[in-house]
Amino acid sequence: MDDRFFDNWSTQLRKGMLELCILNAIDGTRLYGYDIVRQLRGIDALVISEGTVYPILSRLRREGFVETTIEESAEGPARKYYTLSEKGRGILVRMNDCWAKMKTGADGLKREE
Amino acid sequence: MVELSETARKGLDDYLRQVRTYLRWSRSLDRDEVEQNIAAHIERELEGTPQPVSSSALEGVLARLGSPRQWVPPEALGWWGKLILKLRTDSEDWRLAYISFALLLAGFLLFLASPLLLVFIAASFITSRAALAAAGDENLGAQKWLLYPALVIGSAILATAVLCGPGLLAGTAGAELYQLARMRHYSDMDIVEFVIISATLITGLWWVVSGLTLCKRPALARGPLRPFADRFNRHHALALFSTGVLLLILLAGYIASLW
Repeated sequence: MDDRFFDNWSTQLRKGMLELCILNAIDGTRLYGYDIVRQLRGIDALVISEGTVYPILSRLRREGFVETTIEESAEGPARKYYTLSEKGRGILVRMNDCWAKMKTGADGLKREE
Repeated sequence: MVELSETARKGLDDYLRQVRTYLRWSRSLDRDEVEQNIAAHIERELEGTPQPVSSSALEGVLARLGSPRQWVPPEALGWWGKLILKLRTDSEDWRLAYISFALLLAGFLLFLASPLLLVFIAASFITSRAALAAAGDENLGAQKWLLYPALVIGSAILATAVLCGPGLLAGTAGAELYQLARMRHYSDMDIVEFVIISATLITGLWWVVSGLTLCKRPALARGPLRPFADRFNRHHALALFSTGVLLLILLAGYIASLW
């Protein structure tokens, strides 16, 4: 029962956090899909299935928060690079600000043992 | 390009086939883009792996990528796609719930004024009962919304048929008998009166007999009318018996008043 509650809660939390982390990962740089996945892999418990990152990237592109460029690669299939759009930069500032406030507030509620 | 062994190639084809199945239900996602993302990811993951890549190495990559279904997030599916995917992939008890509701809906939409409606209701009722048995009352959760319409309608029809069926049949038979009696000049009674007397007599007798039977075995009512008759007990059976006796007394009084 506890495990199920925790799983539901962490799934909800992860959904929003993944978008924030993806946008932060490509802020000020350009990365292709696999590189983004590799960076997010390093964050414990954030990426349960790596395949979830790509649909989020597609949605962010459709909503105009990220832009893509495709470049041919000698090593394999063409690579799709992701960069933050102007609109994406704007939303990222707001998301980071919101997250910082929430984290500070939530940490403030914790009592020292 | 990474070279895959034959079994690894089959594993990848199977994964892509499943992804395509899910993509079919989404209008907003670009199939080619999804497949390119998968191909590019696998290519990068398997760089440096001894070639041809074994199926176990590929399985590890696919396991980290996750289920083929996640490539089509719920928000990318239309309501029809969500319904179809639930039917195709959810646990057996949820599938039964959807089938039950679909049968009931189809019956009302397509055969409202036709006897076929009863066939659809019966099929939906049986499917709901199967789902109820598979999941158990306490584990039904939101399935109730799909199962209860068929259960309520089916139980109401069943209870009405069992309680009033013999009386209705007796009324019909009474009408036939009346015509026969009239032809032979045996009766001066009004047909409506004759039919009502026949129906009341058989209904009263039936309720007395079934009330007595259910007094001894209340589970006979609980089973077919689950979950609505779960609390049916001897007191309810006794009430049915008493109502039957009361009907017969009233009928006897009425018949006596005719003479």
